[in-house]
Amino acid sequence: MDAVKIIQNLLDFGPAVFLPLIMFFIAIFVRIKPGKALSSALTLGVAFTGMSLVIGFMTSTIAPAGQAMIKNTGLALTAIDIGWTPVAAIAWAWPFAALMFPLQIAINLFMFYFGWTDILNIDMWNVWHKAFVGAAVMIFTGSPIAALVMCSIWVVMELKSGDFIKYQVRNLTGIPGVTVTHPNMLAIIWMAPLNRLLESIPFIANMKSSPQELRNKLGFLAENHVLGFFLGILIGAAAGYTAKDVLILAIKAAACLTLFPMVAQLFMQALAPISEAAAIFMRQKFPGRNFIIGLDWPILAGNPTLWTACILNIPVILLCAIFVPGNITLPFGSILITSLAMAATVITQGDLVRTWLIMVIATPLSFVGASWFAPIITKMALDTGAFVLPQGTTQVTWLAHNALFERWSILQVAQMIGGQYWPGVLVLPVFIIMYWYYVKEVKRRDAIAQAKVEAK
Amino acid sequence: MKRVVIACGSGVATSTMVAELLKNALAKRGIQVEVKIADFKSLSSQVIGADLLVSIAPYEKAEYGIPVVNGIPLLIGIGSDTTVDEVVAILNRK
Repeated sequence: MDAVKIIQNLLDFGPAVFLPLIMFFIAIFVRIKPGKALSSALTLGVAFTGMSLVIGFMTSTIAPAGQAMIKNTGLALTAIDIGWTPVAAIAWAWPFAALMFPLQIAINLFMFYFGWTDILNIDMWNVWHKAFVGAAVMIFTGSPIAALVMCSIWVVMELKSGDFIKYQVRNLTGIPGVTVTHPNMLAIIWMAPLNRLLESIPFIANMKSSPQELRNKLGFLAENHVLGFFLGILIGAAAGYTAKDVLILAIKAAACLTLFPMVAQLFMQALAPISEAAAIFMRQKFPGRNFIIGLDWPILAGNPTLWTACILNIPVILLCAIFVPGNITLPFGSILITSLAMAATVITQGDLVRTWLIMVIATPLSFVGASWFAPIITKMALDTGAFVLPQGTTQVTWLAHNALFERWSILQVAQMIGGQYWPGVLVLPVFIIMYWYYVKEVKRRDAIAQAKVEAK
Repeated sequence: MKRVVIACGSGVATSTMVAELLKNALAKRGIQVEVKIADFKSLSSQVIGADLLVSIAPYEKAEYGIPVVNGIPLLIGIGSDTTVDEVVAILNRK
């Protein structure tokens, strides 16, 4: 029996077939009833199929408009920003994605056992971020060992980040006993010095704002279909379409942004039983010991600063798409760049002015990064068979790339394992110095937040 | 059927997880509800016609005119029975 050949044959069926199979066996392994396991597994296959449908619809809608835009304006935005939901689908389609569950759980339990973290991370959804790191490192270096090492480092950094910000999260949300272990929080590594700098400018530090009031006024702009519609109008107008075609494009664009999260829900529905089993397993492992529960970012999402800053940043995004030198990213799926806002909201403790300024400074860099990542993400999508792209015409990328700088650094360092030392030799020491400052600064801020929490 | 809206950041992961947990917990008590998943930024149009909002971010202060239950205990699996009791009490009251 040639096991490699069997696996290769299975992979050839595509992720919509082989992932449900893997899912079924994992579910049975964690003692989920066969009926429920089958239902979960099939839901995962349905999720993949649904996602490729919507992606196909999106690329066939946006790509021709992008082409027409190049002819009409000379603006060559050839990489469509697909947003995080399709990127998650690509990551799940990585053949080793399922291994990231035991990797994350094992590293977490090991660190908790030795007291190196206070966190039990029960967020199994964002395991896809580890799969993304792994898949990107594999594509970039071709080395499975480099992928494993970098994924492990990533898991450790996420857990430590959750430790460092736990009182800041509590002060923002008022929820005791939880923190955020989402990789977005790693963006605080570069935001910490920037925030410190902004704080030291009296004019900025003293500026007052009322995020709640602004959110009530502007909130409707952030609804997916409204955003999609206006983006469609802008893209259609830039493409030189007729009024009729602009409106058709705008409604289709609104449909894309509305359908993406609806389809993505299916992935979570499929993962829910495994996620629940993993959470119960982790909680029962250390009876009597105190722990902080690591969660996904939405516990921060009630904060009006987060959404207001995102909406106020939209004009900056549109300007950057046009004026950032070398940009090829056509902003679409992640037009709000929520990822920047969540980390900034934590480090600024909900200060709208500084959150927005950090986003404004980071947005052009996000375009540079997204354009850099475009060939990698496109290759990931094609290699994993996550979805089919129109041949040679379009690239896909991810504008709101979570912890973009950190992920880029990881790739550069990963290359060194494969013997390619430039620019890793420069990136590694810079990253270590930044990390050292980040630990110092974020701990200092957490102590301040702790004092505030305890005074309440 | 009673309608429950569950909201999180992007209306994808956390809200779906909580929806599954709540549906299972209510089914065990023989209660069927219609669950709608929403994201915070479009919540004001999503809560129309709903009987109850389960929120993952407990400090959402906007007023929606329907009862709000904190969904965190369901998510972390600690004290979730009390949350389900709370949900059942509100649904029965209406």
